[in-house]
Amino acid sequence: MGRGGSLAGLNIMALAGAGLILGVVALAIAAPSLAPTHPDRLSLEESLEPPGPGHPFGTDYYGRDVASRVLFGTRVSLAIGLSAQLIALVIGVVLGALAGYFGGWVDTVISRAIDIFLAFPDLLLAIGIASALGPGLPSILLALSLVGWPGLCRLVRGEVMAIRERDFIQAARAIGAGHAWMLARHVLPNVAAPVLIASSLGMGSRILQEASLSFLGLGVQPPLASWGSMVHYGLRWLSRAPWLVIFPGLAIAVAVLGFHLLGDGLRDMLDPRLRD
Amino acid sequence: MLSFVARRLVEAVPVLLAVSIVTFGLLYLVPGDPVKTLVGERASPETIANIRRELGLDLPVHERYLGWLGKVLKGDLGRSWLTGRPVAESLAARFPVTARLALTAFAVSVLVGLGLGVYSATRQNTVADHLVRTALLLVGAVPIFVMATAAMYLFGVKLRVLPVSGLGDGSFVYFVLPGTVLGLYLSIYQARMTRSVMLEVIRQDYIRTARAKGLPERVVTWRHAFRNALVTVITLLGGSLSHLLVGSVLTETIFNLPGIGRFTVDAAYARDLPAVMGCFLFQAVVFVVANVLVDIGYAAADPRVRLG
Repeated sequence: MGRGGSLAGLNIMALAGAGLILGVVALAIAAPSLAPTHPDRLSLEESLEPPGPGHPFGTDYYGRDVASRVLFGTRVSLAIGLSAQLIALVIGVVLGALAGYFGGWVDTVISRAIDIFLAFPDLLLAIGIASALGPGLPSILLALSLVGWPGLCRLVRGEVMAIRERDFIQAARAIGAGHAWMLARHVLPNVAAPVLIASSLGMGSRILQEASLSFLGLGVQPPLASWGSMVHYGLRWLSRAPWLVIFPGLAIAVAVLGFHLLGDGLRDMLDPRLRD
Repeated sequence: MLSFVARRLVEAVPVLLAVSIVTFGLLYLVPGDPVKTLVGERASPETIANIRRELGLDLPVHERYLGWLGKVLKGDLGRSWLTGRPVAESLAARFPVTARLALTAFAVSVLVGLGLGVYSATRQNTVADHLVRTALLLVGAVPIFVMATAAMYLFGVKLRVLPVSGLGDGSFVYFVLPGTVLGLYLSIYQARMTRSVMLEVIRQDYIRTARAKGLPERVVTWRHAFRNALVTVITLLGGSLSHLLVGSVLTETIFNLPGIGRFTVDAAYARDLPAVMGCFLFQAVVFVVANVLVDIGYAAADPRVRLG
């Protein structure tokens, strides 16, 4: 790992991460054809059956097939994580670029806003929002985006500030490039690498945060089920049916691991300064 | 040093004000009429009017905020809609549980995290180092609530050696499992940071000098490298703190410990807004103040920080 592992110039961690993510995405897409049964099909006579031939991951209290539910939960967890990360990305990049590029009072206002949002532990902010707004998809997305943007914004701001002083920017300015052109053509492409790295790690965080919120019962609400909410409902059967917790828990870990590996690997590849 | 402390304290004031505004703003996120949403449409007009007056909902926004802030500064966080008890009282009653959990977890995390970090760094790029780093990566992807559930199943359900739920008689044994799980969760972060800080220190000239003097490697590692790394490691505590607060919310919920984290979740679940706001404000203030203290500690340990 680290600087050592590479395959045809590509970092092994990044490859392993990309492989895991592709696998998880493929499972999400193919869920309807892969799932043994419909995820919501009740079958009370098959309540709490251990993993076996008919139900590879066992069944829950209502006899629903856990494997099918985990497969379909992949869609929910990934979709929420991705949407929240995209919203955070847009807010973070736009505000970060403005703050770093223009400096002055624009930077002061945006930097203070970053400080304020970083003054809250992430899950706490999400819990506050979810309880005020009421649990459900809108509050999860709002909570996770608000938690996600400050880190990205600070990163983009710093990178843009450094790039602003470089010669090629001065040159572009000298030949009369406008602000919008400068940002779009010269500044932002140069922050793409760090933003890509941060987004991969950020996806891992969003998935973990959604899972935590849903685990607390404040996130995804039935009939929708994400991996986190499956653990929430599985916990009450822990002593009789640990598979209700094991498989969704494992799914979270695999997805998060994928994004962490990809992020760390990309960092080793693209940002030699950060290698140890 | 004094001027650094003063400056850092003054800088914290606007952040704390902003924290209070965000907390107060939670009330405005409640869709529709917050009172009706929260006490139910069928509550008597009298109850609704009372709550409205208690919350000052009949006043303009800035007056409401200032009135609320004035009360908060006097230690009045309002009354829970659920139990009718003062929120500040409930927080005070639950604080010792969270503090004990946090201290236990912190002790475990420092022991394991710093230990693993130093172990891994002094064996850079060996099999042992790779194993430690791989383990940190794998365990780091497991959510703490899954880790906690697994520990609960193993020690509470299968082996039946440790209590897994509640506070019992309040003795230390009830904190062993939650404290260890939370501590291990924190130690992942601490081990990673300690490792990279140690790697930097080990490359310094004074370490080469210490080795050249013929000091045993153990002395070089612990007395020369680790003690210098420790200065930077102190700032980790700030980073750990966010993990500690978030982790304690999840850990207390799973292990049914009546601390502030559990209180927060119960309040959020019941949408008991005064209690949610109280918990929210309390934890955010603890977080901000602790970060200031960490900064001051860092400056006390390293003159470059306060002079730079």
